[in-house]
Amino acid sequence: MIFNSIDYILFFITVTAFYFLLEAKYRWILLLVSSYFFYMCWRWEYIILILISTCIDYYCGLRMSSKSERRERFPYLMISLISNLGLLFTFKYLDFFTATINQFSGDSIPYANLILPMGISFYTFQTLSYSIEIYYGKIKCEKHFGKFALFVTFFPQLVAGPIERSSHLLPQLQNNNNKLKYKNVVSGLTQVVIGLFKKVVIADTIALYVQSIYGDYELYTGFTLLFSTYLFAIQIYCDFSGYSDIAIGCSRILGYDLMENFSQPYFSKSITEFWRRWHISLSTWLRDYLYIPLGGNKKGRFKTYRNILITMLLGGLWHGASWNFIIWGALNGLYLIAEKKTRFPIFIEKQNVVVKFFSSIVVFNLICLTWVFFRAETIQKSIGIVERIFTVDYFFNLQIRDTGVFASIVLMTTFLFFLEVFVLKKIRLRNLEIVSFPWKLFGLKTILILLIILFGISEGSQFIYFQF
Amino acid sequence: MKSFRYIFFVFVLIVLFDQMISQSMNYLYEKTYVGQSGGKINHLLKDFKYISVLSIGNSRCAHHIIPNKINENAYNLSHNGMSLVFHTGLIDQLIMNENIKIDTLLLHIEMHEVFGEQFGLNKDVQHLKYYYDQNNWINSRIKELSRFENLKYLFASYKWNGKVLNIINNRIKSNNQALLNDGYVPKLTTSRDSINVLWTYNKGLENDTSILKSGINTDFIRYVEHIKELCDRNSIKLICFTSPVYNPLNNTVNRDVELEDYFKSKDISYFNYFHLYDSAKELRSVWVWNDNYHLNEDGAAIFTEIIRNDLNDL
Repeated sequence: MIFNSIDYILFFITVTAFYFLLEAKYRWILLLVSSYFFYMCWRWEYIILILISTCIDYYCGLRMSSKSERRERFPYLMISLISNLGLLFTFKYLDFFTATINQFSGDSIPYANLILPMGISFYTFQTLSYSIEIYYGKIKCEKHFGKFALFVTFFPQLVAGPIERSSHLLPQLQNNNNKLKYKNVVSGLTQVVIGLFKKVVIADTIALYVQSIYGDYELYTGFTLLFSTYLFAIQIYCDFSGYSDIAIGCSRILGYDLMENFSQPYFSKSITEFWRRWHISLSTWLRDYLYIPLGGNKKGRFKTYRNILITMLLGGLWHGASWNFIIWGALNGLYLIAEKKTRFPIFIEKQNVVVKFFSSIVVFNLICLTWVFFRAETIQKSIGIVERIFTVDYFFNLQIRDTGVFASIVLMTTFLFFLEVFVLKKIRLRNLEIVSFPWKLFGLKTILILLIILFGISEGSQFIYFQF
Repeated sequence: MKSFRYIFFVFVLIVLFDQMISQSMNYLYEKTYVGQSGGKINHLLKDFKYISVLSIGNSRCAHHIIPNKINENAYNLSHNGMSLVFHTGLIDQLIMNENIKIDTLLLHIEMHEVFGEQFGLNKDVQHLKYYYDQNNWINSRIKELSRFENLKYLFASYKWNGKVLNIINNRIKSNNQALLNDGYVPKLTTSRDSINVLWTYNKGLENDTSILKSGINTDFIRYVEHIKELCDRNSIKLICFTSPVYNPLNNTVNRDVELEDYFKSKDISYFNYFHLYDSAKELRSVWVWNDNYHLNEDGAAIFTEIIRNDLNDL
C-alpha cells in the first residue's frame, strides 16, 4: 500500500475515524494493528524482521535501563547494534559484498538473492537511535512493549521516514489523548495535498522523461542529459519530500508531530547548508550517532576531514548497496571538506544577495553532478553521462520527446517554484495559528487537488526512497 | 465540527470546479481533430463515411503505412506507444459508431505483445478514459486495472487526466485544416538518427528478441478474438501484420510459425514482415530507417508499396 493510492486514502480515513472514536487507552492498539497491516500489505512475511528488531531493542532497552554504569550497558548496546546492523547487512549489502569479492578474487560465491525489505534502513536507524540514547542515558526505556512496537512501526513514517528520535516520538505515543483539532486538520490536510501534488504531478511526470533519457543516454546530446539531470534533481526532491509531507500531514491529523525532513534545500548557498536542509532526519542522525562519536571537529583538522568523509561515505552506502552510492557520498564528503577548509559557509553568509544567488546556482549544479551517480545504475553509465554533458559536439540540441509530458513538467515545476517561494517560505504549516477561516490554504488546497486530478500520474508508482 | 465543515467546503468547491473543468474539456475535445488524445478518431468520424482500409497499431504502424498510397479512402488510425488493449478499445468504440463503414481492418501486431512473458500493457486502456461511461468494453478493462479504479471517476474531470495540455494544443491546431489528412505521420530523419541505427545495432541493444518466451499470452488472444468478433459482426475483413525491423536476428522462427498457425486457426490473414529486411534490398540502407524499429518517410513508402501489393494479391 503506497501513499499515492486509493487504497491508502481509504485506509487512512478508516484509521482516523476509528482513532478518534476509540477511547484513548485503546488507541495504541489500533495504530499498532494498522501499522502492521500497512506493512504486511507489501509482504506479510517480512513483518518477522520488524518483530525481531522490536523484541531485541525492547529487551536491550530494558536491560540497559536497569544498569547504572555505562560500562554495564555496553554489552546490550552491542547486541542491539550487531543484531540490527546484521539484519541490515544480510538483506541489503550481502549480495553487494559477494559481488565485490567475486569481482576481485575471480571466485563465484553464490548470491543470497534476498528481497530487500521495504524501509529496512529507516526503521533500523530509528530503533538504533533508541538504543544509543538509552546507552548515553538521554532517555528512559519504554516499558510498554506495545507502545515501543508502535514507535518502531508507526505507519506514516515506517517505510521512508522521517527517521524519528525516540525522545521526540515516544512521549507522544505514550500519551494518546489527542483530540481532532481544527488547526491540525487544516495544516495536516494541506501538507498531505502538497505532498501528493509533488509526488504524482511533478515527480512521476518527470520520471517519464528522465527514465527515457537515462535509459538510452548514448542516444542523447549533452544538453539533453544535463537538462534531464536537473529534472532528476527536482524529481527526487519532489518524490522524497512529497513522501515526507504526506507522512507528516497524516500524523498531524492524528495529532502527532513528526520532524520536518526538508527545508527548501535547492535554495542553499553552500553544500553545508544543503545538508542542513536535505533529508534532515538522516543528516542529523549521522551527525549525532556517527560524526560526533567519531570525534566530530574536536580532534584537529585532519581528523575532522576524515570524520566528514567517513560519515558521508556511510551515508552514501546507507542509500544502497552499490559503488554509485559510495561515490555519491564521497563527492558530497569532498565538497563538505572543501567548504570546511575554505570556511565558505561563513564567507557566503556575509555576501550580498547577488553573490548568494550565484552561489545557490553553483551549489545546485554541484549537487546535480552527484545526482548523476545516484540516478545511473552503474559507474560506467555515470561516467558516460558526465562525459557527454561536457562534450561540445551536438551539445545544444534538447530532445523533448513527448511534448505533452514536457509541457506538463515545465508548467507544474514553475508552479511549484512559485508555491515554494511565495507561499511555503512564508507559511509554517507546523506552527500554523488559525484565527479565522483560512481562505488562502482553502484555495491552495482546491487548486492542488484539481491539478492532481488533471495532471497526476494515476498508476501509483513507488516512492524512490522505498528501496532504501 | 469545525473540521468537518472545513472538509465539506473543500469538497463542495472541488466538485464545483471539477464539473466546470469537465464541461470545458468536453467542449474543447469535441472540436479537436488532430493528435493522439482522441483527435484522430474525431477527425475520422467527421470527414469519413467510408474507409476502404483502416490501419491501426502503435508508432510502427503510424509511421509505416501511408494510406493514400494504398487508396484514397484508406486511413491510418495508429497511436504512438499504445498496446493492443488500446487499439481494441478504439476499434470497439469506432465500430459502435454506426455512421462509418469499414471494408478492411489492418491491425499491427507486435511480437513482444504476443509472446512477452509480462504483457503488462493493459494499463494503456487508461489513455481511452475519455470514453469512460460511453463504452462497456473500455469500462470493463479500466475496472480491471485496480480494485478501486472506478472511484477515480467520481471526479468528472479525471476523464481528462494527463490530456489537458494536449487537447488544448490540438484544439488550436485543429483550426489549421491542412493538418487534417489520412492519419499518416511521417518520421523525419536526420543523418544522426540514421547513424544511431547502425550504432545501436552494433551495440546489440535492440535486436535481441531472445527474451521473448514462447507461448501466446492470454491477453493477446482475448483482444484479438474480441476484434475478430467485432469484425465478423460488421462484415469487416480483418488482416493482421507485423512491421519489419532493422537487420533482425534469426531467432524468432519458432514463434513466427506458432503465431502464423494461431492466425490460421482463427481464419485471420496474417502478413509477417518482421524479417522483411532480409528479402527487401531497399530496406537494407540505414537511410530509410529512423531508428532500429521505425522506417522514415522513404522507408514507409517502400513498405506501403509492398503491403499494398500483398493486399491486392489476397
